[in-house]
Amino acid sequence: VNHEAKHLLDEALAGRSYLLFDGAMGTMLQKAGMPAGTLPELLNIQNPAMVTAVHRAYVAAGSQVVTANTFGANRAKLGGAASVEDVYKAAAACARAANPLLVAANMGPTGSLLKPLGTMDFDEAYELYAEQARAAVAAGMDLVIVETMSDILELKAAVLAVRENSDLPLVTSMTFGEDGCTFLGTSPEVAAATLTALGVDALGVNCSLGPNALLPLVRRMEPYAGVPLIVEANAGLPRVVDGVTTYDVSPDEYAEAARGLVEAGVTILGGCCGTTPAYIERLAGLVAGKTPARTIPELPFCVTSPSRIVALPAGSHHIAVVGERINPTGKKRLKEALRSGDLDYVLGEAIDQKELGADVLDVNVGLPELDECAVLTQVCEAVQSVCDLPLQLDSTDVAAVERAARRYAGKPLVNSVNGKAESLATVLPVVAKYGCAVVALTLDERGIPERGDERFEIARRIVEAAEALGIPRSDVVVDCLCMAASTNQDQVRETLHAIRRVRAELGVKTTLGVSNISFGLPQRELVNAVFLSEAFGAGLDLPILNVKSARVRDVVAAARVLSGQDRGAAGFIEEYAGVANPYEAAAAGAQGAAGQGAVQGATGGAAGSDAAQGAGADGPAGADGLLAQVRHLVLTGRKGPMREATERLLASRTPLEVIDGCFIPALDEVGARFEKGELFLPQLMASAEAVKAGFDAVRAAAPAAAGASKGSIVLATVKGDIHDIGKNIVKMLLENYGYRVYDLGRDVDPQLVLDAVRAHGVQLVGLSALMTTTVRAMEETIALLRREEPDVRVMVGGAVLTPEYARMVGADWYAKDAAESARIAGEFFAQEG
Amino acid sequence: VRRPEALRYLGHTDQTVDPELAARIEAAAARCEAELEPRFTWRAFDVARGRDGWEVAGTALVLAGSSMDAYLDGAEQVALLAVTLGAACDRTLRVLGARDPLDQLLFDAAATDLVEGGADAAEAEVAAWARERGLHARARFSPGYGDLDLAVQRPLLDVLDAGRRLGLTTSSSNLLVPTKSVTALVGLFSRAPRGGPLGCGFCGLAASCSLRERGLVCSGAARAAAEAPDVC
Repeated sequence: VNHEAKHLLDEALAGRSYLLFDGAMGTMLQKAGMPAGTLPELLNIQNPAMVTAVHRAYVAAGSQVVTANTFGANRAKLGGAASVEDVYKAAAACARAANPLLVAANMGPTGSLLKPLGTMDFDEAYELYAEQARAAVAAGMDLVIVETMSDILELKAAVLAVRENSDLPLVTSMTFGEDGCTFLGTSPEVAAATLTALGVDALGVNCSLGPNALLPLVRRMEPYAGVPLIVEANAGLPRVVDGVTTYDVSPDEYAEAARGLVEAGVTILGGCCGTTPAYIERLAGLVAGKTPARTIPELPFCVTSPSRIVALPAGSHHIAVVGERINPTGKKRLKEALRSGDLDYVLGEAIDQKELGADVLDVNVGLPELDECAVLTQVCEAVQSVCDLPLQLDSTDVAAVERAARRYAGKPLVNSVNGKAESLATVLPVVAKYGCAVVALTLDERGIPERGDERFEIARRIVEAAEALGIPRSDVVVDCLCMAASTNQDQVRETLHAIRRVRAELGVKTTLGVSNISFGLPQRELVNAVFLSEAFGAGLDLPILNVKSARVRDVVAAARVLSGQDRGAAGFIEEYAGVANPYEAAAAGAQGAAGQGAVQGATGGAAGSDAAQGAGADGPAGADGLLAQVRHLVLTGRKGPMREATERLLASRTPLEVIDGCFIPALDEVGARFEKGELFLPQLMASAEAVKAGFDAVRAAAPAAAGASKGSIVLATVKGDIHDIGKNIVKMLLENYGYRVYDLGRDVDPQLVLDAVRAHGVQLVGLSALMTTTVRAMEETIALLRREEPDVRVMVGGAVLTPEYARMVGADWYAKDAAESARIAGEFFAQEG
Repeated sequence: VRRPEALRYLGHTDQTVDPELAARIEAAAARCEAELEPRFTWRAFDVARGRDGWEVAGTALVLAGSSMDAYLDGAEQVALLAVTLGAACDRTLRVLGARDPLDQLLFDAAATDLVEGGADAAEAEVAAWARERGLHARARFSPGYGDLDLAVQRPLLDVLDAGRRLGLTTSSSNLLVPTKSVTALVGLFSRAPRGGPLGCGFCGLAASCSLRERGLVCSGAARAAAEAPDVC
């Protein structure tokens, strides 16, 4: 080991000295005659002299670190042309031959997108990087640089793989477009905060743009970067001129722009596409003999999703609201949804809470009959696929938290650690390893202390224990615990007292499950709102709330004005100016009760006459009129008036009469018209939507009747296929015919289809495939079902399928469209009896 | 987003669309336009028939099969192009899918037309570039049509460096990800190509295609009416 080199690397990663990487490899190799679209990494073996010549030129220009030619040397990209280990060994040899101070193993994207956008599994990506990390160690590399990354989750897989398979220092860099985001929507702030928490040794930006264009991105990263910053810019934007890629920033311009980067705090420099030894030589001149001036800033509390950061600056009184709705405690509908695997309901709760202003979502799936370890991860991944809010992983099962945290895209908030020795010993290492923030509950082996001062002491102990593991105190959020005022009245003051001390003396953020306060009292929202105001006064930062309560939303909005978070009260004015005072409106309503009643009557009458076309309001004629109205709404696909009309119909008809005597025949007629081409697909779906609204009304009035299923069906888009629109349409229609649909989503492994069939005792399966290439997976799925569950019947559909194809893959039915699938299901369950 | 085209993707022929549905279709198209923009990249290469197919000069890419023999017959060059609406489109489709399959369908149709429009724009740019050099461009041809294997997607993207330029990748089953993306080749000829624009009869799905049954085609500007006789 070269001591000079090791010292330089240590100093650079401590931010005390500059470090100079090299410039582009691909640009140089293409100049030397490498064809476009081939694997440059194979040249390490086929033409080592060509690769070494590039390294040598960079060393001569002043590069302290040469980047080994291993960017795409993962198993997936090499595709059997050479082993990862051999390519790394050859690459290291090529680099060493140029006699540099340090050699960095280089890892780029896997080349495939991870789920949910693509089909690659997190573990698959992890394995590709782990193999490279082991190869880097075997090849004697000095450090690793993972660069040109767009996906924060893929990068997290790489970070974990390098950490778990080597002791090599790790530098990471992401690529941002002109819109200031990566291709997958990650901002510089999210990248810096997430990677700092994951404990990389340096982080930064490379590729895509010239150094001037990268400067604003670096400035946005800097406040969240707890480690040195690296920039390897392109020599400007690439342009193709007469078939040749060219770059328009000269070496001198590049160095001039790099001066700005250095002033912004960048201490590790190099070049990306289009840069050559001439650029590196100028950079060497720029930092020669100089010492970096950057000091690491005081980091704010923050949590992230791939595309959003929630940050509360140190010393501020900014508020971030944690939505509490995804927690089954006391929520019957959610319990039912979690038990039956109805993720759509959970996702609806997530989207609703976001729309109502939640900043972070709590996710708790703690039900005794669920495998929490599997379900917490599954729900978090599903929520992350439709909602960009950072998540709070809420479980007492450390294994469940660890699995979810490992695969979480971004920096999550773990809920929670407490002062018990066992909790500190098991939870904090997970928080540290996976780059999380953590909620600290102020309780320990003795339970919840009555006095606030004792809770403060527990908080202090937890913060110290966290710091001992390298978790900065800015990542610890203390929960001083809120008990019901009805049973622990004196403790309300103690909780508030503890919050004040924790904020003032520990300088950390606080959180609190506010809704507990009103348990057992009438007018709970009133009590919650008043307590929330008091807690804000004491310094509460992250209230855990039911954002569906307008009253607590009002308190949060007003508090943000008073704390200065809502600058110029702009948000408040936009939301509240011109809105009627709810208390005055209520008083007016009470005074004018008679008048209001009259208005309601008039409205109801109008609605009735609109629909019933002159039929009387009561009696059998009225009911028939209503039946006709509901039928008409379904046929014309108008969901708006459907709920109310159904409610009125339910006054004179049983739920079963409504479903079987109205909804289903109307849907049948819509299906028949669709078949004849009188209606097109969106109209069929609008009708299904209308029935759905009607079903909601039936469910509200008679849960048992609406819940009674006509039969269960498993639906899936087959493995390898990521198109799900057709399957979603079929699902919607089948549900509205009263079938229980288990929707397994898209890109579904054959085994999962079989598992679902067995778990739910299902006899009918619907499979969808859009591409010719994935029809094969359909065939495999059917073959597995035939072998393992021969009684199960299968219908198939999808753009490329034909009746012949369907027979070929072994299906029982070909459903050419959604209406056909409903007919097949009807036929099947009629036969089943 | 060309509204009539988006309607066509939804399977509309002559049905009366009530104002409520029309407003939703319009809203989907407007949202699509506000949030998404097709981005593309292309490059032209010399091309010549080699032993195993058409060799794209300066790359390791070989375009093999009888469709390519018909399409590139007499070509001097071939332009490769890639277009995508990016990951944001897939994200929006996913959110809509969780809440409202109809809105998902409407957005999907609008996005399909938007990315086809992007491919048209890329193709037009190639054609204009070719004209300046005295070359004629043939209507574009995408992997998956005829016997041009979808497996060509990955090397085609590699040649264009589309992962880095556009964030465009392929899945293990050779689907483009993000999904609203198009890759294509454009043959460039010193003399006007004999066949004119290709029809869609050479497509492996021609026998069962419901669009074709109704006299429509799924790819870009080529319409059944304007087509030359099918090549294969």
